[in-house]
Amino acid sequence: MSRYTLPSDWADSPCYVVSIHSALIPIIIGQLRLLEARGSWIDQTNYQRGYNAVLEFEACVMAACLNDMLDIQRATYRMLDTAIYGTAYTIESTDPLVVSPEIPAARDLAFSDQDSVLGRLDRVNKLVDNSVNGTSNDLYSASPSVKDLLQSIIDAMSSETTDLDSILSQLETVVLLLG
Amino acid sequence: MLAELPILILDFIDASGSLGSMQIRMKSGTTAAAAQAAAAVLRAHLAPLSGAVIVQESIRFSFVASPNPTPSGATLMPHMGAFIFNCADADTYAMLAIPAFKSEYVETTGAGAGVLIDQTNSDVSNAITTIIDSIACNPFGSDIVSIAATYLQWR
Repeated sequence: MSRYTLPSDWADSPCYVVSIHSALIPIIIGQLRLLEARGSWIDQTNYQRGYNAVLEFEACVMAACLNDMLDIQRATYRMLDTAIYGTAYTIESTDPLVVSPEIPAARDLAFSDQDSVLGRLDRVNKLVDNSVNGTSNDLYSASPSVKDLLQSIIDAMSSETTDLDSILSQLETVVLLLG
Repeated sequence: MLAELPILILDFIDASGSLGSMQIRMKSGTTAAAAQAAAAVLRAHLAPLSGAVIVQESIRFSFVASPNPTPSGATLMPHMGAFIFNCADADTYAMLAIPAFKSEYVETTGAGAGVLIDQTNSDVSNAITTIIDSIACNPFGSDIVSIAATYLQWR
């Protein structure tokens, strides 16, 4: 029977993700028992190195690696969901990690918090719309708008009784509204 | 469990590479330290009588179930519960595989259904804790300190 060697820098090599049906794992991984035996390795040094490398792989197959990757993906989703939509997540337990609400299969554009990215964009949009167009909304209802003031100026300048002080005051208000 | 007499086993190899062995039973109640001391004396006097070379010495303390128990359940010997432990030295591990592992301790839901062993089960968690707290170690003497993974293997 051939005896194996394992390079000392084996852990520095890149990793490949291998998909395997769970029903095959006990059968295929179980065959690695041959590599756990001293007789498979050319000497004690390679046996010690190989034994630990094989067991690290066996541990990684079902547990640590994939679960860590999935947890990071879920955490990234929650971070983006909170930042963009304002969704509030609560950690119900840490071991095992349980977070509510659960991540949905799909979501719409409705946001939960005005301080989220979408919320702040909404606030800016409504501010501009109210300031410029005079449209009242749930956040802003100032009056008169920039357009109203400009129209007043136009009307005043068109009439025979033009009041320059009044026009100047309205222009100053327009400047204030525009920031 | 009933204690059998301790046995000293001496393994020989001849010039052709053939292996052979001899066994010497020791008195009841012999301790491991006493057995090891006696083995050294015996080896010193027996080795010169053989043209083969002693390559390995083993001392075995055996205990047998009495009366012979009747195996129960439907699980077969290769159906093993593999328990992979982290050891004290960095990047070292230990494997303990329980033969004919009962299916009732295997998860039935989730991605690991039918393969992963349920570590939340009290029998399983107690066994894991007992192993960690014991004097068990890996083949290189590194203490077992925590569990890394548990799942079924056909070995």
